[in-house]
Amino acid sequence: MKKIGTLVFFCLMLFMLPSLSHASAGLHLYLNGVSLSPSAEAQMIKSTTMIPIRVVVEELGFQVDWNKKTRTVTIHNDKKTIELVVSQKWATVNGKKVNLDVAPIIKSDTTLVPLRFVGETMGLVVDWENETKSVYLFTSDFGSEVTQPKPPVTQPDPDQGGSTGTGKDEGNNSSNNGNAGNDSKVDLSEIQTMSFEDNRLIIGVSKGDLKPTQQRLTGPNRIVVDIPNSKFSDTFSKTQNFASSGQAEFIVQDHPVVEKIRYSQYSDNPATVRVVIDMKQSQNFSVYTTKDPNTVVVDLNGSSPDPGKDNGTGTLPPHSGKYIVVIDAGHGAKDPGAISLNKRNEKDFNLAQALKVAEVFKNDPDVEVILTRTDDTFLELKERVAFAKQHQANLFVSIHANSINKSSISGTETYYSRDDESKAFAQVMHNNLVKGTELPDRGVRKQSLHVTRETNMPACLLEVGYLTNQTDESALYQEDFQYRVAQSIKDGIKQYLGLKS
Amino acid sequence: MKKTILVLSTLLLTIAIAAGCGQKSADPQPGDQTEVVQPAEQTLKIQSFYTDDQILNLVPKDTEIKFSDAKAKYLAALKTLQQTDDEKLIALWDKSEFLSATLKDDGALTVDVKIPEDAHLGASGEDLALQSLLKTSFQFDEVKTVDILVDGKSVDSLMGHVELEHPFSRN
Repeated sequence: MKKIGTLVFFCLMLFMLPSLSHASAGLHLYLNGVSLSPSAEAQMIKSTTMIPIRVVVEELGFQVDWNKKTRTVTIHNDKKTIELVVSQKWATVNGKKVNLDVAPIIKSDTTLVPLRFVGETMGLVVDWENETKSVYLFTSDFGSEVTQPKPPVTQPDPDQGGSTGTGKDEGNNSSNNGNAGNDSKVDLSEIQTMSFEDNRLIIGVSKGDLKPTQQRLTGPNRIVVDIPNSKFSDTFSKTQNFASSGQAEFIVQDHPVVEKIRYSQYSDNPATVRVVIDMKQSQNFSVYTTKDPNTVVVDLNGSSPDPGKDNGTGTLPPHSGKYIVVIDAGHGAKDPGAISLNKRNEKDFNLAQALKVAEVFKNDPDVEVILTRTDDTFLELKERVAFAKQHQANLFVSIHANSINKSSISGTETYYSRDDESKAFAQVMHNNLVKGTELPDRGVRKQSLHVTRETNMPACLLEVGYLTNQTDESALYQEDFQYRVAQSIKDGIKQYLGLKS
Repeated sequence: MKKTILVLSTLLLTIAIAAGCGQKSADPQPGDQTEVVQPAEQTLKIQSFYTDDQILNLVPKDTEIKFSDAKAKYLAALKTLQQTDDEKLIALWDKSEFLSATLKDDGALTVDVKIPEDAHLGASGEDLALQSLLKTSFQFDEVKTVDILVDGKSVDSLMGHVELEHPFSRN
């Protein structure tokens, strides 16, 4: 570990040398040691290096889409998709919401995005040299001759996406003063011990009040726990055999459910330690923290000690090991919903559309779709909510068609009610849905609607199009339109869950 | 603001006094009221609520209502929600019918509406329609609660997206 660190550091030093010659100018960007074109102007905003999206495309080679209407930047390669919204201090990475230190901004017609966040998320190693005001970017395969990373122990795993950078920890620790965008030196909690006993993974930490997040993933079954504001203590690091991928692990011998436990510094900014428990089968678990001694506990014994508590994002795909998504066809039976221009009922569109979503998800390995109604029956709003809760749904999507007494209004809208994960979920769903409907994008809206407010999982309501508009109406009742929309809903759900579509 | 309230309450007081004399002996049921005294027609400036063509926000607009009986004030106010001459605005209740709006002594206003199927709106339309009804009703200080019935029945939702409270309280 130490050795690799020294090598990487030496390696970095080599590339820093030429930059000293033009230390007087502004910010410099280097990719794998090669200076990027002078037009690649970076700017410092609140000690975070921001780069124009043009540079992301032209110099870093990622694909970028810019939606002028929603002011959303989508950056992607074959593995990762980042969505950033101008002036929003959060982004989504493969549909998962993450917080940003600095929001993307528009400055003299140029959209600037945070370099470190984008770079590291897309698998680059980002290093900041304060003296020369230079940012060094390295692709993960660069320098492989020096450090000779072993192929990953397991298959390429979405949970380890953040630590693809070769010897990233060491590189940063050796120049820990003034990393761009990491200047707000929070007092990190140190991971001191890690042990597994009595079906509990107990992680000893130096400080309490941690807010770990959890996910249960399938194929293979694993539990992923992220501990924010934390790093491994030096003592702990020395006793561990970290692979060059930045990951260490221990095998749990002869356990009926647990195979092994892996951990890595998943992200440096914000500092996050990720712990993955590889499971032999799906298993209920709970995550909690204790004080004196300060620990984070992943408990596989039975159910959560506080079953009423909502465990947050993406928790527990239950017994089947699949994510449960409830699709709710709005209205039904005595409640026809809106009446279209040609006197067709909204409830019939909603049902046909919901059934097609179920159809495109048939035999899906990761997601199980459950419908609130499969025929022309009526459910009260609270019955729809109770249905989703009873099935312990991970996501809730209600399908509707819109109506207003002004026939010129046309387009697709997506609604959410809660400012929790629902907001990001609605955004992801909407971005996909408008591609499916090919109708005007009328945006994501917040409104206090019963089914999206009273559910306790990420929830949104889709108003696919306006039945009171000629164009929308004729599209909505067509089979091929409904299949296209069903596919876009599926794409949105898979994107939000971080699954391959 | 203070001034507006003062003016408004003075106005209301005047109306109440004006209307009051004819009503002491009258049957409290509004429907079968035999008007002994014909009170003078009142004109009142109120705010009515509509939405913009993005169906995003409630937009208040000054309107004027005329009524002879103070008890008819609420129905008159709600009926302003059925149309607007402002082309930039959308009236959310244009295809619906307000059957009655009755205020009890304790400040409980009961509004009975008829919503034909072709008046059903989408999610934001329904929410804004409901809010426009409530805001228009609660601008009268004497209204403490609003209970909305559909064809005389207490239902869960007007149009299937937003739940009704029975009654809604001023918050």
